[in-house]
Amino acid sequence: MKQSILIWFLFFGGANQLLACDICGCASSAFTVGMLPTSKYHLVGARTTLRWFESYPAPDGNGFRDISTQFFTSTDLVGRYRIGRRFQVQAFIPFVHNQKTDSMTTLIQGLGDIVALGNYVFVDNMDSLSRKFRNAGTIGLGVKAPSGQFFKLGFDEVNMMPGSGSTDFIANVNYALQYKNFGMQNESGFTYKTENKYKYRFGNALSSTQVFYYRWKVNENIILVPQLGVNYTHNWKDRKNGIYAVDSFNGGSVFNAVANLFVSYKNFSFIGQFFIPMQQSLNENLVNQKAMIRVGLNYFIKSKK
Amino acid sequence: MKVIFIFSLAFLALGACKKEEKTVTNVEITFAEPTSNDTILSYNQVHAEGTIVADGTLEGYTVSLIHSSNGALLYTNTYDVQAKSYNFHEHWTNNLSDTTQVIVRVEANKDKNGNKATKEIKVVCLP
Repeated sequence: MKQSILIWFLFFGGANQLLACDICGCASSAFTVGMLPTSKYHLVGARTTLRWFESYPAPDGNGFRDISTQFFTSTDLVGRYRIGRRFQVQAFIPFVHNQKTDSMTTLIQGLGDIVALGNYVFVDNMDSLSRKFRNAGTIGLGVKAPSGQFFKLGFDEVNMMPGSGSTDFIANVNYALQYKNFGMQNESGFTYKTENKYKYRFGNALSSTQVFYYRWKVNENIILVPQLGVNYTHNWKDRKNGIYAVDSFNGGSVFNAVANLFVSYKNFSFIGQFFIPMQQSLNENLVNQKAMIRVGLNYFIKSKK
Repeated sequence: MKVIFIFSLAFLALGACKKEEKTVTNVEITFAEPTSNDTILSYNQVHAEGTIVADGTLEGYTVSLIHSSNGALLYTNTYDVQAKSYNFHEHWTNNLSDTTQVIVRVEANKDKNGNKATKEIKVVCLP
């Protein structure tokens, strides 16, 4: 049981990211789910992701904008249901709280875009203690529904809105390899975005994370798993009415250092993740990502299957 | 059981009725930017931003920038979007070689027969 929890813990949590973009808020992030283990558990949980950006003066119609600070926060309810040994479905229900401060503070919040995903486990021998090297991998496909608000009259900063207004498609691949208590895992995801009703199309997004971890069994109930790694995220430019949006705050790349800590206690797991940008080029260097932090708590429910 | 069946049929019948579109009579176009007679320096951007609100479903809108002396179309972008309201937000870089009065025009399509609501603002573009 603990091993199954740990496997989930290592895989799902380790590379589980909603990060991605520059200053575009959750609506246009690269949604990558993270590894889905073949644990025998359903789960329910919640997680909060905070992304912190600074935007520097950008040419405006009549001059220059003030430096602004943005905090994009998404709190997601997460549920996973196991269907047989090889399949799982997951759902993410986000509540978005976006804040921008320059000469004034603008706050936008509400339900975000709900994501549903199905995953196929193409390999998993993590329970096989006779093997020196154990591995596990999943491939997933999903859809993001336009449940979040995209349009607000008189407010045209689309990157601040809780929703993208579009139906987007998500693909991700996860793979982990473990030797004794050491392991490494990779998670890569791509989000294909479509044009919304108002002819705005957020740029597609790619994210890939590689981490190395060590499993430390403190006692019968507690397991700690520290991780270190790197992440690369790229967002393509937005299009408005079919052409690149001049006023877009999207587009560019970030190369992050990643430090994670996972704590497992009985049927609970706590996750803390930290992303520190090492190199970046966002919106022609007018936007600077300062950091990203995520914390989460999950509860596992034993599956009868 | 029979009651449920009848109610279901009635629900489907009502749902099948086509909702009659309300004819648009009133359209309000508001510019947040630019303001009238703004001066735009060479290679700075004319920034057209504002809202369109109607009392029915519009059939889209067009934002255009027009050379007021010779009528030349400097920039245009049409959005074929059905909605009751829009935010418009367009940019054009002033690359004119003479001092020119430029008309920033927003046209909302009230229907598919060419009926429009229009609002204009004039700005001065410097070389």
